[in-house]
Amino acid sequence: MNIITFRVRFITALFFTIIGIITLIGSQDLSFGTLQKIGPGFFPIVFSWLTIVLSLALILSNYRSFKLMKGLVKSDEEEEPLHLKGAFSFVGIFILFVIFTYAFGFIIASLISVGLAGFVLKLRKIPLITLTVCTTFATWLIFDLWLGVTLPTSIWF
Amino acid sequence: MGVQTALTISNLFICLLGVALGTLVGVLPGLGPVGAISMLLPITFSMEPVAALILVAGIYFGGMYGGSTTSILINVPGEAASVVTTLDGYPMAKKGRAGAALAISAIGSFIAGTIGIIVLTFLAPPIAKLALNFGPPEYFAIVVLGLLVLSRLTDTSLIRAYLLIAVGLLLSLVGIDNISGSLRLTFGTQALIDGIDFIPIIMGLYGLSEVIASFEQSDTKPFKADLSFKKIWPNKSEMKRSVGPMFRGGFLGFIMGLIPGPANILSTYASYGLEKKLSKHPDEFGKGAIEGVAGPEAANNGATTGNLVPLLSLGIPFSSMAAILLSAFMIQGITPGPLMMQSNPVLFWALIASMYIGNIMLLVLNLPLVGVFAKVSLLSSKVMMPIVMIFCFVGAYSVRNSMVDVIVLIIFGVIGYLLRKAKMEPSPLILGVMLGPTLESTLYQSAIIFKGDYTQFFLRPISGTLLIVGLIVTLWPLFKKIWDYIKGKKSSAI
Repeated sequence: MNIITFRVRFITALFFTIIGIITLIGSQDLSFGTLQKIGPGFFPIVFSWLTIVLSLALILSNYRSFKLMKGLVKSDEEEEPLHLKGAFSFVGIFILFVIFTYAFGFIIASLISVGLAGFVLKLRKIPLITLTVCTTFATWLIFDLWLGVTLPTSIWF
Repeated sequence: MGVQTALTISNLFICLLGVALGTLVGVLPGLGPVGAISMLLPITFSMEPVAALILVAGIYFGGMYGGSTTSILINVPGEAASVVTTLDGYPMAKKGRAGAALAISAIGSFIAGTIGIIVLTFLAPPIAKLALNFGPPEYFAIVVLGLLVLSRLTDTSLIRAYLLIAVGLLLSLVGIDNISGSLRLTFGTQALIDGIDFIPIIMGLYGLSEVIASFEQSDTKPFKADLSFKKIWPNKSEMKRSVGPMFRGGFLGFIMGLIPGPANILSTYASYGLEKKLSKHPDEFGKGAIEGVAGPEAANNGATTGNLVPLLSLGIPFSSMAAILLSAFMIQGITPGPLMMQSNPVLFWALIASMYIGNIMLLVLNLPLVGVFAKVSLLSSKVMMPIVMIFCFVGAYSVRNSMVDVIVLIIFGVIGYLLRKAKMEPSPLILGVMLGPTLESTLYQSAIIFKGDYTQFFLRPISGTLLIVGLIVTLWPLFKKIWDYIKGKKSSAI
């Protein structure tokens, strides 16, 4: 296991632990039921606990195997890259898409997000503009016009 | 009647469209068939049920074949099940036999698909008939066994697989409880009352996560292979050497497809190992042996069809691909399972017939158009990923015309990226989401039937056997450790 896998597994396990704790808190008001009649809280409580326990077990086993692997011969998988800048840029674009869809509707949001995604991926000017316009137009044509999906419009108009 | 329905001009066209779309998307860089189908699923929303399912089946088979093209031509597997194909497919391409490798892959897929569909035709109805006698305890046992076996096969670590199943099951509980009517895990949010739909989850884990990861991918180098129609035919010797592996791979894949888990991946490795063992030229493996392409490619397709048996006869998906197919059924308001064959025989047999027709179309389409698909596979991810991103957004939105689903998609896109970097396969999470409601309702009903005496699960022959098998599968590593310990002690005493 390389350092990237170790760190990401730790973050993932931590994230799932938090999810488990939140769902456990959210299930407190639900009845657990009896052996004869399972209540609506049975599954949420059982699986919340299971998620918490397994996440913590993953953190422990991850730490143990990383310690064991330390100092061993480098494997091929250690070459795999992690570009946080790119990942964060895309997540930012996704969030912007949601905000712009609420504010200005799908067409504007699509033009901006496809344009930004192409820019992040270092597309040149002409292909970038062509891709942005064509993708937005094709999506509108296929989904809105042909398939009858009402694409979101702005909350203002 | 079902065959007649599948053979109407419009349905034949839809089948052709599905196969072509599936192959096209399947050869695109990065996007595997699961991501491809989830992305194209919204196209079926406004279609008639029969046409929609025929289209999805076509995309399903087309996507499976598409993944192999990139493996052979540019040494980049389109999906995990095509990794083995790179071992001999790419060396064949380097030797100038790319066309033959692609043709053998198409013929192998066709033969395996045909074997699978014929066996499925005969196997699914009796299983469905048997399943009509199943009660909630049997269904509960099947789901538990499926999840346990899946967790043993998808990841080397049981903790990771169980964790993802638990998270998937938790997600399936959000919204109104169907039994008591109470709200669960909604945290006062109106948007969560209807629950979390599984389509944005699948799209996020398999589609949007690819978009995030695209920043790290370098573009593939163009290849120089002659893929003209004349050059794609395998020679006599290649054909002769491939026939056995194709049939063996097809049967092996189908049988493995019946087992819960990533059968289409495991079957390719099993078939490769088997062919290497049986081959008269084992030294050629890894250097361009045609058997190394024919066997795994057939096994991959055989497993895909095998996966359909539990889905169509029991209504239970045992792989992420089958889970997506189940979602396609559910979008159309159809619940696959034993009752479908009785209540909707036309649809069932039309689907089976269209799969067969789809396989023929795949063969007819792929051989002459292999050069075109090869060029598509070289499309830059810089161009593809923004398109995939918008299709995912619109696809998630169109499920319920809700932006909440787009937000769910984004969250699972990030989770999918994290899982990818953590080297954790997301399919247990998806199956947890899909099987959660069945697991809960069958346990609830069983508890009432058994009046709280859960030992009765083990007193019923089918549920008892299935649960014991599940326990053995789970505890197997422990048994093995104890056995090795005893064996070690004995040998040291000697």
